[in-house]
Amino acid sequence: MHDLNGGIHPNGLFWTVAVPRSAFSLNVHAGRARLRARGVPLIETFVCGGPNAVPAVADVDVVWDAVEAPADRGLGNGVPPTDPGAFVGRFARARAAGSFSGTILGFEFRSLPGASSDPGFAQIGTERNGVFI
Amino acid sequence: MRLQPEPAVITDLHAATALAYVVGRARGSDGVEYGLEVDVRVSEGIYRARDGSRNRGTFALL
Repeated sequence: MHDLNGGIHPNGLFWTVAVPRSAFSLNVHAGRARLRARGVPLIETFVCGGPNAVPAVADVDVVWDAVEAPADRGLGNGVPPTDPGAFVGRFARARAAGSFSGTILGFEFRSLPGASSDPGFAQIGTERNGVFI
Repeated sequence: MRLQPEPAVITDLHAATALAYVVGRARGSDGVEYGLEVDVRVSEGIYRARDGSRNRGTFALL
């Protein structure tokens, strides 16, 4: 098993990496979004004589297409800031499909056609949290 | 109770977002076919940094 992720930053932010602004586009009216990023720096974590992490790189190309009308989500300021519902958003359930590839040391992988959110879940939209509520 | 999936893991954020839990198959350079599961999320917008400044950025969770 290989497990690639963006790691955990000292401030607690996990699995998250900055990507070029041009890597993501969302057209709310068309109900379509796309993430196309190459050479995303990640790590692979594994346990072998203790916890280990080695550098990895991934290419991602995912397209989202809304399958429902957007709906309001989140509970805003009506809940404590630590509540999972402490945000306001307008999301549309979507179908996502795409390709993924990665390199970890001397190992490479590439997704086969058909990878999608059909067995999973996808959504697109806009959201605000924290001071922006 | 409504499902309340917030895609962002960043606080103090105002952004366009997308989230997907993708499932599929992948082939490795060792010739083995693997199951593929990807939690991919992306946010593009304005965030407040720790120093209080407001900035624009794009972040992916992989």
